[in-house]
Amino acid sequence: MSISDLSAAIDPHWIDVAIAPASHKMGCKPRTCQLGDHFPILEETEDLIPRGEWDDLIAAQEEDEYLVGAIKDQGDEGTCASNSTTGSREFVWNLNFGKEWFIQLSPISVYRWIAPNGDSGSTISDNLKQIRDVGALPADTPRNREILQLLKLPIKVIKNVGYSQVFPDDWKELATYFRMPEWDDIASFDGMVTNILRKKKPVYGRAGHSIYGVKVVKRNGVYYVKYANSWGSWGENGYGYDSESFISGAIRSYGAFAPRAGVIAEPMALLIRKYLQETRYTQPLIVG
Amino acid sequence: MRSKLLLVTMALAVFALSSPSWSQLTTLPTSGRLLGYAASPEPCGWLIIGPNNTDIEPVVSTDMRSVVFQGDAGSYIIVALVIKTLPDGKPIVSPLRKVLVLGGTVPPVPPPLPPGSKWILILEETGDRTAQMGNLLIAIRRQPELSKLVQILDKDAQAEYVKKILKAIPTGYTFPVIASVSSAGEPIRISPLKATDGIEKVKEFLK
Repeated sequence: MSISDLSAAIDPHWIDVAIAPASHKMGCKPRTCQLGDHFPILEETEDLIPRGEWDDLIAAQEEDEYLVGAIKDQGDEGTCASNSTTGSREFVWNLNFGKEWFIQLSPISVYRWIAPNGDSGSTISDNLKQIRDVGALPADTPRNREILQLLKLPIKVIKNVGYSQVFPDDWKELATYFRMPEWDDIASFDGMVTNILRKKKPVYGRAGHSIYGVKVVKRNGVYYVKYANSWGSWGENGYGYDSESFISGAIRSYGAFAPRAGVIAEPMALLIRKYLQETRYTQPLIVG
Repeated sequence: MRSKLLLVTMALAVFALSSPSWSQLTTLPTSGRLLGYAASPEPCGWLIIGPNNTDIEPVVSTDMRSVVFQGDAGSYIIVALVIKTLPDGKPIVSPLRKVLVLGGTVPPVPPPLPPGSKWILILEETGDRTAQMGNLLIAIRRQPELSKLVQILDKDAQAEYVKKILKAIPTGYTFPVIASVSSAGEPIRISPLKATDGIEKVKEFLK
């Protein structure tokens, strides 16, 4: 089947894109660890959804892009793997607490500690280990500042881009609130689809670039992953599509990982609950 | 043993003549409080700010190189003012700052709500989440008024109200469960939640 056979719902320009536009960088290095070295292998711990059930589940899929917090723009820095990692973490957060509590995380707050410079790029697993062990800082946005203030947390924020930014004193204290302790190492395309359908959005790499999948679509008998990119408004409002063959050819070399979800941020749960209690649920929600 | 007793008796006799009485001994922390400690390689002035900007009065060592203080769980800002002398004889103050967290990073459990308010908690074993249940969770999140009052957590979350619900779950229930929770964090009503129950069941729990 050629790309021209696809329905108009997917613009063929945004399928299996392997070259970055001149204005943006990529920056995902191939994995240096073996499958299962740092995180449990999904296929060994969870039952995958059989292919025979996929189509019904895809048809019943809600519009999962709703919980994507933000499409980011990495500019000319090689931070794609940090963008995808923090993006996937943001999705878990929004699912647990609601989008009204969305806190955008700064990719550079992760990347800065695992890469020697802004151009070098990073592996996905290095990003995951950093966000597992240390955490990330909120991005410097008015909305983030407002939420941190409401929750009586220190306003220690950092911009999304700018490798040489100065970090606030004692930034690690706040970063611990934004850790993601558990991830799964995914070995197959079927594992990726299973996780996407279960609302655990996988971070993956291919062709030197990392993104995270948010939805499964099927066109003319072929399965595609709709992913959130970090090139601003590039593609279909920030999204692109990867075919099964494109992903399968790269998944072993770059890796695919999904948050195990659920056990994040009990301290934040308490703070949000406290705020709601103090305001007796009467305060209007924060809208982005 | 006899020689040890003799030694202690002699020591007590000497202290009784030359030292403050036992009642003047100061120990920290007092019951129920936590102890903090800070040290510097050089003598310095000390300033400690406790949670909610409270001033903390530390006990400073005689060489001015260390302090101990006590307080409740929370973040303490410790400022050590090191005074140095420049070659031209002028003194400069060089402040060092560090944040010390006593009692871990988990903030205290929130105060109770006035009677009448309640909220919904969905507890799940995340590893067992099905695609159908995932769709229900997204559907909840897509309704702002419902989303505001619902929290979705893993059953292993270390919050006090989660533990209370886990204790109250009747035998035979499987995860996920849905619970309405009172202002004091007490479970009011608990039921298993199935993906087929739909969003109506969540709304029903808010009534």
